[in-house]
Amino acid sequence: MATKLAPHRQATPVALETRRVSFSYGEFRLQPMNFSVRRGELLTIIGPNASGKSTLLKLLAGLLTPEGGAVLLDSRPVGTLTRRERARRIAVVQQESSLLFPIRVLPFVLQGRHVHMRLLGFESARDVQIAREALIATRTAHLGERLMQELSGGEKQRVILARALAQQPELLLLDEPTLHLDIGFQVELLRLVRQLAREQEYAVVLVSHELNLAAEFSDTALLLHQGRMLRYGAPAEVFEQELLEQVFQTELDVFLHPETGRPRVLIRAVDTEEGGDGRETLES
Amino acid sequence: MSAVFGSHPRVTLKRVLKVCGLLAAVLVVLGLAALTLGAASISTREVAAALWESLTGSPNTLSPEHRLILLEIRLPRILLAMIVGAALAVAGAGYQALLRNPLADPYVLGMSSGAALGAILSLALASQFVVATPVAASVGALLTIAAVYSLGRSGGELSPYTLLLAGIMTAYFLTAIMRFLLNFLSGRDLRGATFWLMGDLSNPAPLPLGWLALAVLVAVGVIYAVAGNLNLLLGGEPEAEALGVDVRRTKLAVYLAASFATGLAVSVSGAIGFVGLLVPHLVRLLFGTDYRLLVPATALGGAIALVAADTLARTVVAPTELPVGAVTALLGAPLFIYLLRRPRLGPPVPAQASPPEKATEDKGK
Repeated sequence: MATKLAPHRQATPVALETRRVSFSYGEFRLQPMNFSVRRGELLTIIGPNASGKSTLLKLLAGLLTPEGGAVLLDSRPVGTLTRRERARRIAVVQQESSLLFPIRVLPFVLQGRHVHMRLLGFESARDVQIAREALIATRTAHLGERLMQELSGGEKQRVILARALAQQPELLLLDEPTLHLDIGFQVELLRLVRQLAREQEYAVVLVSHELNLAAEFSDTALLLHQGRMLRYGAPAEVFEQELLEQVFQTELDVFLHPETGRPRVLIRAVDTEEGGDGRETLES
Repeated sequence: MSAVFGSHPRVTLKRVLKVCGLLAAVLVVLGLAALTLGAASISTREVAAALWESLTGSPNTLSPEHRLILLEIRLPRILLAMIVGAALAVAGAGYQALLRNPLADPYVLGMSSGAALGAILSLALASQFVVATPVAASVGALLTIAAVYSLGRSGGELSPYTLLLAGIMTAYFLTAIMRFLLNFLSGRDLRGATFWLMGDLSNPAPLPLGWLALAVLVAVGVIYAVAGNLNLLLGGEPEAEALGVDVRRTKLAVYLAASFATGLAVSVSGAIGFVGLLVPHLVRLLFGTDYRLLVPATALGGAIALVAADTLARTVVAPTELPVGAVTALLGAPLFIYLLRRPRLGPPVPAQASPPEKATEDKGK
């Protein structure tokens, strides 16, 4: 890519770091945990439903205030950033709410420039240029004049990613970006995210239920269970059969892919004891 | 439909000025036309003479009777219609973004009834203070929106249909109290039930028009100041927060300003319905959904709409009059139903009910 979307780069290789960060609401408690993400690196948070993944992501985003410990962005607590600083440095792709009114793709992506504008401001030519570069980076430049409401799931996710890139962040946080996408789009999106992380040196944290995608595309993985960080490291260290079986309460096979050397998770066959539920006979 | 929506160019300062200049010109022409229309037939030449006289102070051949009708009756009424129309329309646009509901409107959601009740109470209890009425009406609108908002929530989520039903029922309830009060206090000069329930611009405003205009301008200005934030709020509060919007402060500003605008309007004209619903949607159709253009264009559009509606109200059955609210309801209620039945502009459907459309595109471009 010719232009760098992300203009300001600090010298330190570690972009994001947590120091015994913890949180609680009601009965649920996120136990203190330490981990870090370097520039250009992709960390995936995995874990069962209600394990605290989205809460952790919101803590990293500075949208929740930690109960204890701190989240550091370039050695500076995220909590001490002003609202505008935070939105300039951290972009979050969330599970999107519905849009109230029709909006075209380019104005939607330009919303990412909001935090760079003054009150009552209008987008400058440079803002439009950055938005167009973000569309190019996410391979959605051809959609600029379309309505968001007309896009397919895969197109929409990439445009939402483009809006995040238009913020020119250092840290990119994505909450289940592959939800509702078919397997082709899932791979396409994560390949794109990893490529962007490498080329633009974003630090990326991703929450995902797709274990195989996480294993294939992440540099590091973090396994959460009941608010506790059970394991953190390279995918091969985290994707351990017994551990995953315990956490997800189902029988799984884990092996290394012969070509990429990365872990793969397979569900083991359905209840063979009861047998004859029609499925097996259908397939055999 | 999408062709209409898709065809609006991006909002720039130049475009805002252009659109607003156009609408302002329409408003002036319409206002002048409205001056010539009415039960007494007065020619355009006389209107020009009267305006020239009031601007320069030089006397002319105008008959005293016509001068009185033009400058003391029609002109203040037209100006009042402009101010009230702008206030109600911008309040509607504000509530729509705030509640994430395209059918939100001060009248439909009961804020106008709350404002009317507040105004009646202040007239009954402290009629010697002229300023008390708009203040009490604003407080009434504010309390009503707070009540409707909390009633419209089910399970922590703001449900679009529950919100509408809560608003309509609240309006009924407040109207019942209002009727009771008006009946009970029938000896006092509280204006009639028709005024408060339907809205009517035939009574001169108890406040100087200049003050009223200034107060409405402040309310509109506050909403305009957060117009950029409102654009982002349309896409959901968590998203807006992540994009750097101070969601709490933005919502508070719009709540206060929209309720103030509603209270001001209702205290001088009663509960005129559907302006806040009709005008923002027409402006969206014509100029797009960006609030940086929508807010000023809606203010001007509301002024245009109410001057037109009020001119109809006082000319269609001349020499008698209709309450202006009857005209706006006649036009607004069908539009409400039309919007309710259109999927794209109706209340947003919960996420589970609308699976993402499946891909027709080719990936890997």
